[in-house]
Amino acid sequence: MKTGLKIFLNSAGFGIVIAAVYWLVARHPAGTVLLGLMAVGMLFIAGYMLVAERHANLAGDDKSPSFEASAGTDLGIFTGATAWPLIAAVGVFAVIIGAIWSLLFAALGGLTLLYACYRLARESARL
Amino acid sequence: MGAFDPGTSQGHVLLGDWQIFLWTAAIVGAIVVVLILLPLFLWRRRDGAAPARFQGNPPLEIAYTILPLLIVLGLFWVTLTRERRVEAQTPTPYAVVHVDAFRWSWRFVYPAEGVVVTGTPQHPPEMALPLGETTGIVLVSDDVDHSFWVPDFLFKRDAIPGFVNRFDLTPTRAGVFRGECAEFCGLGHTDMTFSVRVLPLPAYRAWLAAHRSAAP
Amino acid sequence: MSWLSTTDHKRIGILYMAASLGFFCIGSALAALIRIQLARPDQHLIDPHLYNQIFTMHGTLMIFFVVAPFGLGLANYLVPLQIGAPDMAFPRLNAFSVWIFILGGLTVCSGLFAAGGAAASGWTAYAPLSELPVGAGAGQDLWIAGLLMTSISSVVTAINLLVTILLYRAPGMTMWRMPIFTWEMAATSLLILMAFPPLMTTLAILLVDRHLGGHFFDANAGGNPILYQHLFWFFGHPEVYVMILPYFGVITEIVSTFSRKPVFGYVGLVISAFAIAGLSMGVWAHHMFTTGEVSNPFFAGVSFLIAVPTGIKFFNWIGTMWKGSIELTTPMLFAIGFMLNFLLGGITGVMVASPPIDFQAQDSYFVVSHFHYVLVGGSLFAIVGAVFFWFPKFSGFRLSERLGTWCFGLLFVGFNATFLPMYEMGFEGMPRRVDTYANVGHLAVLNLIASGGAAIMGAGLVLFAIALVLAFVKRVPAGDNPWDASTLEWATTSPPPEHNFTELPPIRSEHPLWDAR
Repeated sequence: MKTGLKIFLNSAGFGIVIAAVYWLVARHPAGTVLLGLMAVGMLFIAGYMLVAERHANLAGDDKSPSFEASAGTDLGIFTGATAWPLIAAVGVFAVIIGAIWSLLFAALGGLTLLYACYRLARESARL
Repeated sequence: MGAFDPGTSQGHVLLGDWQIFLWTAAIVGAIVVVLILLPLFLWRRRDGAAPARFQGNPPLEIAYTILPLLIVLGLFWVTLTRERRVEAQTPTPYAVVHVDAFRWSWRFVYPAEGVVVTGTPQHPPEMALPLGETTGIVLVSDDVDHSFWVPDFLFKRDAIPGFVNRFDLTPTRAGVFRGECAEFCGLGHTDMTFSVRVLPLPAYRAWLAAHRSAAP
Repeated sequence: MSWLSTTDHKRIGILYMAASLGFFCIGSALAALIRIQLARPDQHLIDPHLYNQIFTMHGTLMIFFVVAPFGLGLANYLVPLQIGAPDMAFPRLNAFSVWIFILGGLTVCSGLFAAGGAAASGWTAYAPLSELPVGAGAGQDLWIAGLLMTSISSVVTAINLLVTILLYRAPGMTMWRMPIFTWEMAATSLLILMAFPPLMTTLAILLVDRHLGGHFFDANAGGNPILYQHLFWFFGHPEVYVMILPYFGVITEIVSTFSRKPVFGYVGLVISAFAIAGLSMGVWAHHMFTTGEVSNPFFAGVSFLIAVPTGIKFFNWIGTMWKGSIELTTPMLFAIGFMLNFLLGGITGVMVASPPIDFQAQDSYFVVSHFHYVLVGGSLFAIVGAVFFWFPKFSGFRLSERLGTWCFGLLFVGFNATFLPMYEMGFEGMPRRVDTYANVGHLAVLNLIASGGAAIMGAGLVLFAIALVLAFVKRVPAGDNPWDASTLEWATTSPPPEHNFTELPPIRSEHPLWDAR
């Protein structure tokens, strides 16, 4: 976790520095905003990790796990086969195509997408 | 060959940048190629080479970080100084030419002399420049992005709607040079060519006179 | 049928890779048409409007639907295996992302059959050109729609990969023990997260301009065409590294395996990956040196700096081979080919990063050659090398080494014959994206050589396809670890069972399988 956090913090720091340097050298608002937003995005992830995941005790961060830990007693939950991701993708496809040529088609796509998301959530809940 | 013998004083500065970079590239490239190929000849499994076990060498790693850094810093300095010389503009050019790019040809306007030359894709226009004198170019576009490129001058500049680009050309060699649009601009992009005729001053004035009378 | 509803990261990875190789066939056929048209000067075999569609679709397919997604597909297959995880973090999201990617590719390709033709404003779709009703057809809109879909796919996959890498490592697999390929994918994913949202925004703005009467990029109505270039390249340059970082990882794994040595300078390789990713966010306007509207010194300086971490990678590969026990298998040949080609691509990259050189090279065949050295001589060689390397793991069968060697030879000779002359063409003044050219300078002979080289490359690619088919016909079993490689994907069966591992070896370094020897 610490290494992961460092990646995002360093990226955010780099983003702030390069945005500042760019502003000083080029005085170009659009580019500075883009670089600044990139830094904000990285800070957001780092902040999330600090707040929500600070107590995460990952098996993968254990340098010399015990024999039991390595044996994989806890394999977690496996996801079964499901066609809803494909249907959700078709929904997104319809939304984008529909937004250009036919709002009705987009609406149908939106409904398909929502229903697929609902079914995916139901599947998750069952497990 | 044209680009190896640039037609403008700016082009000679640009060619110098090419030469410095090409030599650096050739030397660095040759060293790295030898380093890549050498192990293939020295340590082959079929010759019974047993693999060594080392995994790093901090002083060496620092060295091959610092050395390339120094090289690119040097190249950066070369770039800065050369670009400044190429982009320098004289406040008192001998002539000013307004270049107007449109789909798919060019219009060359000599405001002081009242000369307008407009081309078509089928009949590309010609612009004249005085030999040995500095001409200021004012570049604009009517519709989409274009780019004014004379390969023998080693220089191009984009023509972008809503923006005005200015640069100087100081021809050092008489002759006719090929010009073309370098930024893709649609169906007639390939045909959007022109030519630049560099003339000694008397001939340049004659060219202007001839085109002034031809203009409506 | 079970493929349609699969959530197994290995099947999804194979779907990704197979789809991108399918799009590669279309993109290569288009490239062949380009080389036929340009073989002789003043030739008019293909009419200009069709030619514009051909190079637009060639660039779009190769960049958005071949080189970048193949890396994501490979990562989908390999990253969970390399870190000892049973699957990706979000398997169903993973399935969604591969399907929206395939739908996006089909959407873009469908433009070829639309009335008025496909998009014809180049893969960069510069506004205001891309806002004109070119060909009066749906091509440009289909192009935008397809790119939006594949962008969604890339972002979703990047999030999935990052979460998997951060949270789903096996006990003992600390981040600093991960294989370099996995590290490179972490950097790639980070880059995708930073670069693709601006692209999606730009595409959305294009749609607003085209259909809702917006004038963001229309100078006549107070819009700003330069802004389009800024937005596009803010995505576009990081995208270049999205297309190369995964393959740096591939090359590192191959070089280490066939030198029988752990990677030299592991930490340096990891840090250089993130250094490249970070710096690549600050170089976008080196594509705009000739606009006269950007800070050339800033972008030239940052662009030069990228040469430093890239150099570190080269020296680390050389250090890995140094005093090794080198075996010239097909994957290793492709890795060597990658290094030689990419070296030339990288060095010419430093050249065009210098604005005075770029004033001649920009939008000429010099630049065309430069990026093909990076993306074909580099990435594509790594793709073919990766297939030869991991195919035994994917399928359980071996590929013919003899065909592989011939395939490499033809591709290497053909590639260099095609693209080396293009540097000179560009220097002599041949602009890119022209459908024909006048017979001046050496252009005629240089173009003829290039077209001949393309034919040789084509033969090499046909051999590649034959090798793949023959492997399924002959079915020579590969075994779990045919190359005696060191990373975890080789610790399980070939192909791996549905949830990857029945048992894991102890993980105490970045090369656990060699520790166990």
